[in-house]
Amino acid sequence: MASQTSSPAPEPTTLEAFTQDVQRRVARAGGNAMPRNAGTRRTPAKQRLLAAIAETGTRW
Amino acid sequence: MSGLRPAFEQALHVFAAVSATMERSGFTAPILVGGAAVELYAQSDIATGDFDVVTTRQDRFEQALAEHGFIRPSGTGRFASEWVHPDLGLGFQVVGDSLLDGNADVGRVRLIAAEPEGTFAVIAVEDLIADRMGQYASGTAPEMLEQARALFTLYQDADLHYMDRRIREETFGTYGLADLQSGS
Repeated sequence: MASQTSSPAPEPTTLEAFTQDVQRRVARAGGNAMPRNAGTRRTPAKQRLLAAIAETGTRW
Repeated sequence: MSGLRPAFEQALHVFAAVSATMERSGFTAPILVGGAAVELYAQSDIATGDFDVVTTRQDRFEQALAEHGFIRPSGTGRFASEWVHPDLGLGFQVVGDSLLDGNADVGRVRLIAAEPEGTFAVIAVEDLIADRMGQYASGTAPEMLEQARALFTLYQDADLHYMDRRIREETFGTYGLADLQSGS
């Protein structure tokens, strides 16, 4: 397992360049219609985590 | 303007900071997977404040999270895999110790520099699409087909040979690239 993550990708892309690339792709595609996860398969751990996030009052 | 939601962009910087802490300690950074990776690749408003990650060293990752102010939600045991930051409203969950059960090519993981905090890793888009198709093939997440197709629409210049192979692996041969193309 250690070898699986020992040599990831070469050079990092900056977050700015990455997001600009995504913006270009979305514009070229005329937008994107990404459905949200239905949320029907959440494990108890995931439900606990989302409840804890909700308790912080942060709006996602 | 980055095009990312401010809360999501801030969360990516926090993830980069936690990743940098791990790397400074000599450990490989965790890899972002799941819905947050989809939001990153598509700038779509779908993440719910929780980042799913894969890491070979959950213990060290959790140590790094604690150093950055994350806590385990109340009511969880000491072996729970979920962590939340009480001020940021950001959560992390370790969903595995290998990328897609070790079937993904880790050499394709994207590294993204979110300065000044550091660099974080995210699953390759080909594997992300294959993962969505795998969930769709399970029969319990029909919306995943549309997520996969929406991603494919944006990344038709990806490594399609690899993507096709990975979709077939994740769906046990039921689906392939053609099932994305037929919907685009």
